[in-house]
Amino acid sequence: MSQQRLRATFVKGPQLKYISHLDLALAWERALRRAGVPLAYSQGHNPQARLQLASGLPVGYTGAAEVMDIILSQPMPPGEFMARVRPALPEGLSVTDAEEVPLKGPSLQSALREAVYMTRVETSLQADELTQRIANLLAADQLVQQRTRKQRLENFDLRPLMKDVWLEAHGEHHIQLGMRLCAGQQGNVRPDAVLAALGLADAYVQVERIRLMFEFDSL
Amino acid sequence: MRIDERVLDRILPTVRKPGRYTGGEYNSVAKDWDTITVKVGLAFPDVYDLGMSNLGLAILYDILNQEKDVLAERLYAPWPDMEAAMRQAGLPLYSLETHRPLCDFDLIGISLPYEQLYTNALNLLDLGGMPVLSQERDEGYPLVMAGGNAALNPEPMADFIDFFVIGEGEQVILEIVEAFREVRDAEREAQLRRMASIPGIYVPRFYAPSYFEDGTLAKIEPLVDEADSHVVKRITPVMPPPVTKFIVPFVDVVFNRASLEIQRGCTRGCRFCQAGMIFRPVRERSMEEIIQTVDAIVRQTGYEEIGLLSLSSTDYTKIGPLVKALSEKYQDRSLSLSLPSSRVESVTVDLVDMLAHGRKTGFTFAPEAATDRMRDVINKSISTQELLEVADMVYSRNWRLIKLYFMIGQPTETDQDVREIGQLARQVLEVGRRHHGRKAQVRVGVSTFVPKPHTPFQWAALDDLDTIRRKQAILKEELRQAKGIIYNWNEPAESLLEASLGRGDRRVGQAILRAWQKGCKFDAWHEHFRPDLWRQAFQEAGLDQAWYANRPRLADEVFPWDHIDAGVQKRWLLMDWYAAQRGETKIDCREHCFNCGILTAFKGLRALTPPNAWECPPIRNPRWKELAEQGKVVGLTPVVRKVMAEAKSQA
Repeated sequence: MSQQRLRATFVKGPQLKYISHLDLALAWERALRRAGVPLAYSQGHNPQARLQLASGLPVGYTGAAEVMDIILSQPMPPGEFMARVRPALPEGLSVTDAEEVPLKGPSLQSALREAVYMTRVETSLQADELTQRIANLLAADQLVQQRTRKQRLENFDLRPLMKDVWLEAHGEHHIQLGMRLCAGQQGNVRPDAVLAALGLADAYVQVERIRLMFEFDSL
Repeated sequence: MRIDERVLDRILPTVRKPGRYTGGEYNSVAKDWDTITVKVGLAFPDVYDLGMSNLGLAILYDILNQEKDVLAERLYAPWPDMEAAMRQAGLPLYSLETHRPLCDFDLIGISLPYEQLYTNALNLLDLGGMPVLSQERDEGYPLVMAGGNAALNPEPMADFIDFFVIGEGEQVILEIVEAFREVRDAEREAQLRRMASIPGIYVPRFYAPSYFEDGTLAKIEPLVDEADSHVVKRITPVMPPPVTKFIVPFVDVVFNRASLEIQRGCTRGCRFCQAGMIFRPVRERSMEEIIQTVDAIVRQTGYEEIGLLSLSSTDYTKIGPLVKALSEKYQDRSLSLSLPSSRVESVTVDLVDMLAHGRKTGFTFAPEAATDRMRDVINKSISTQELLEVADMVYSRNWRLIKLYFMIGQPTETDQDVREIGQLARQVLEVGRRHHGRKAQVRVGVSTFVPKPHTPFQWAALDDLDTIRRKQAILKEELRQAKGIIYNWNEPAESLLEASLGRGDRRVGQAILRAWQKGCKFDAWHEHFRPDLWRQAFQEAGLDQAWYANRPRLADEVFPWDHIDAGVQKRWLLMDWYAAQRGETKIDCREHCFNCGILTAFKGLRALTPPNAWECPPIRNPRWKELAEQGKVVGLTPVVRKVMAEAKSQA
């Protein structure tokens, strides 16, 4: 029987923002089973559904256009796929697009390059002060910061991982910051690092990842 | 009022597994709070991961939410990191569906499957903004009810719970809701009197215990007309429709699967086993219904595993054909089946092959004792020979791990009986080695026997701590250097607590209150259990844990649960206790009815159910059916007595 690879774009809403990456994959698998989508399983003792999320969304973030690949054991038109899956999804999860892609081809994880985030930060900082801080950040050659990896503190340079940062909107008690950051296996950084560099580490913040950019997209 | 979501948003990123606290899972039901008139909070006094696996609450949730004008929401004990954060932020315990505080509900149902949850139950009430003592809550607070196995001896929790539901909740839960509608605006006393008038409901404040000078109970007397002298458990005459729309958790939970009850009750009569006594009579679900239900569950949940639940799954009459049909139907859909409890004597080659999916987790047997003599005492009469043959068959079908469960400390046990547990484990490993060489494994779980109410062993003593430790040391010695055998045991102090609460009387409530005030919670979790604080709590309450746990009871002792009627008669249990000491066994009661009392207690109900609906023999006298059909006999002993008395006086 001929397999098929579908690429789906989905929303991870605020109801699901505390669900971890692994748990989200299982939630998807179960939703697809409920929907009667013919999932392909790996061979072997402990068969795994062949379902791949492009990138783990940090716990607490929402995602407006997350991407995953699903291998089906029998072909199904993308439109039918979407129609079947919609009623089987929990609140907070919705599928916005699906397309067929070549069965062979790079995995989403290996093709991921950048991610665009929109953050809403509660602060009473003035707009010109913020604009100045952003400009300073982007003007720097090097921004050495600390992060914990594998339970060890390490230094890393934030600057090359930060493609762009901009002030999207400004209100009396909050601001909206956009940022385009490196993501994926060749370098990855989270928006909190940028917020920390801007002196906003302790602010109440809501983060949404609004786009994932891949090698095959025109960057 | 909903809790402050912003505050919650601040807290959740800082705690472990925040997905436990958000709700919104598939198949959870969030109704419109403002238009529903009766709101029930179903609470499990342990963490979400455990509570989500509780089938009893899933059944009640399903039944209540099917009612148009009723809503049921779930509440679980937050893990200590979350509790600390909630208390610091001033967040009350809230429901997962609509994030309402506990005290906003009309009725709260707490599941009490075992005694180690008692302090957590108090903690839930407190975290929900309610006084923990029933007497301190007036009609301004929700009514707090509790049910589950531990509720079969309600006395230790009598000070905290407004009323207990004795037995199965499927029918009575809606009677409670309707009664609540009548007395919603009444004073607490009147509300509780109305509840007490429902069969199967026990309202502790309407009963007064009195004690002899030696501390044992003299009697427990009802104080108001509504309170029956004996509260008989409720049962559903036939297996109720199964739950299919299980809530599918996002986070990993203890049993991450759906559960389907294929059978309720057990006919074997193991003397230590409380479930085997209190879930009588035995009722089976039809094979057709099971197969349809599995299909519905897969479609509605997407679960990849279903547990076929029963106290003894392999005793289900058609277990072979059932598992065969299911594994043929789902072989390509990666659905695995699990049978949580298999009896050595009813396992067949076919069955072992069909459960192949579970090979990674091992095959489980619970011989409970290692010598034929001990197994006669506890009435679990399999022979060592049989066990070894079955082990050989299981290992030969490509399973490498066999798990064996034993109990030490059962009545009449000698050190030799203990030693032979180790020898039996080695024998089983030997069998495994023949098939798998050094890759064969035996996992031996040895728990300590704790005497339970409503069982033939309710008169027995728990071994004292030194004896338990000595027996555990014997086993450790016995299993030393046995590569391929993994040995697990229970902490003796945990058994002591379970035993002193399980057969406690109303005075024990003081110890529970003090233990909770000292900070005891999550007593079932090894890392949180504080035996030192419990010891102090008992002492300050003027009570001795050993008196409750380690004291053998005399035949005529009045028990704190004697007025709670589980159907099986105390006289019958006593006869069985004597039989145990003589080493006399009873065969499976499907073969021969030993007249345990179930048919006496539920004669009317039995008369109305088809002969094959229960494993108990049918009632042949047509007079009972007539009475039952006139609605005069619901099958509850006190009611039966009243009807009989009326009939007599009219004659």
